[in-house]
Amino acid sequence: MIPTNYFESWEEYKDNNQAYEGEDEIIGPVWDDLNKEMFLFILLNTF
Amino acid sequence: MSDMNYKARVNAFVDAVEGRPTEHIPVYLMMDGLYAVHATGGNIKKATYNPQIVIDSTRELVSRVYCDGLGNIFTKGAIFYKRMRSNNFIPSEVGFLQHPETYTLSNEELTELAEDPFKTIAEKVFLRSMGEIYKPFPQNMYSLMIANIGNTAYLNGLISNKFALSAELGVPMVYTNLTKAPLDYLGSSVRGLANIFTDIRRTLDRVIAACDALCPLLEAAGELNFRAPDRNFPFIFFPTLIPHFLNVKQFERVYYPTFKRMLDNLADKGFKFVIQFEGNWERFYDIIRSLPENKILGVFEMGSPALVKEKLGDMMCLSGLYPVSLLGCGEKGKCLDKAKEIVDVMAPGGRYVFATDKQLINARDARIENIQAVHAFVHDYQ
Repeated sequence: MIPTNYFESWEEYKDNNQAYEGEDEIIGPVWDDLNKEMFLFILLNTF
Repeated sequence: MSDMNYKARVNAFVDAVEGRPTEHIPVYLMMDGLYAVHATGGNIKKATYNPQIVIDSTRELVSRVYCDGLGNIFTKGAIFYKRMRSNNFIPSEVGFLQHPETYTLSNEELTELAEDPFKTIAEKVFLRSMGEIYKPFPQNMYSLMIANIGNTAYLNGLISNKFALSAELGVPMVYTNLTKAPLDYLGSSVRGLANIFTDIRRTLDRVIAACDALCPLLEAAGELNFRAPDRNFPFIFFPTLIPHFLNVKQFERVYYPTFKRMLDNLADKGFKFVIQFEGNWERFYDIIRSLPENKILGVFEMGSPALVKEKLGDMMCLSGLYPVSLLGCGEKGKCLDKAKEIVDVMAPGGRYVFATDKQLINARDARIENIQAVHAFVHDYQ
């Protein structure tokens, strides 16, 4: 959705860090939604 | 005002954009939140730190002035820019946030922007707009966190209350988010207005490559920041800046391809737009006829009402051209005469929304009694 891989996605985090069972559903969407918000925050603050 | 009024007004804007007749001419009050504060006697500086003042002032103004739609009930909170010593948005002595002529990238760095646009924005454009970021770590990080906590509190207060206010008044917000065409983005905080014209003359290919690279980011900004459940309404706001200063050849070569690509892609996803065609776009009318049909509320600042009606009246909903300066300085009779003159040309056949040529920002822009008279006249016009 975001046309950049600048921020570490949840999937990338899991490659190098421990994730517990069930966290994909709980943390994954929150993690990636925050990346979207940060993308918007930076872009809109450069308008 | 009742919930039915709200829905009827939403339908009127959508009908006007899609080319269906409306019972009355929709009246769009195009103002920044600070106009309501200033015009109702409020303190602008306080309002940029306390969003409730913007909400209460908008409620008071709209209770006195007829309108079917507002722009976004919004203004930028000042704390982020003040705390980060922004050179991009600077609060004036009375509290208006002003956007000075500034730039954050050199001409050579446009190549970097074209190669990796978001990395360049995140690491150069954004950071260079904040003086506080040059303090040593970790003071700069804590300043940014403080500024962001303050900004989030301001925006949360404004956003949660503006939807409740819109519902309470029965007056929808015509747009609640925005994006920009790539060249307008470059000409604002990236290269600045003066530099971008030199770039276009001397390094055109570099500017075009940067516009191409920015297109998906700016399209995503419009899409991701749209929070409403139905993409049909509200519309996505596109302010424009650069085209007024371009000739037709420059417009076709450097501005229009990515502007049109963004609009086509977002239209295909179901979005509609309110585009503020700033300055005079008459020389571009034949070109912009290829923009998505029945998707645009076009607010025009300058030009002939008859010409825009003839050239674009069959493919987009027309608006604007009413001189805001008259509402600020003119006698009521002259304001009404001008409203009749414009509406007589623009309204027949539909696809028309009444609005001023510019957004209202300062209380001196328009006297409330003149807006009251003109909006009531247009609403009753048959």
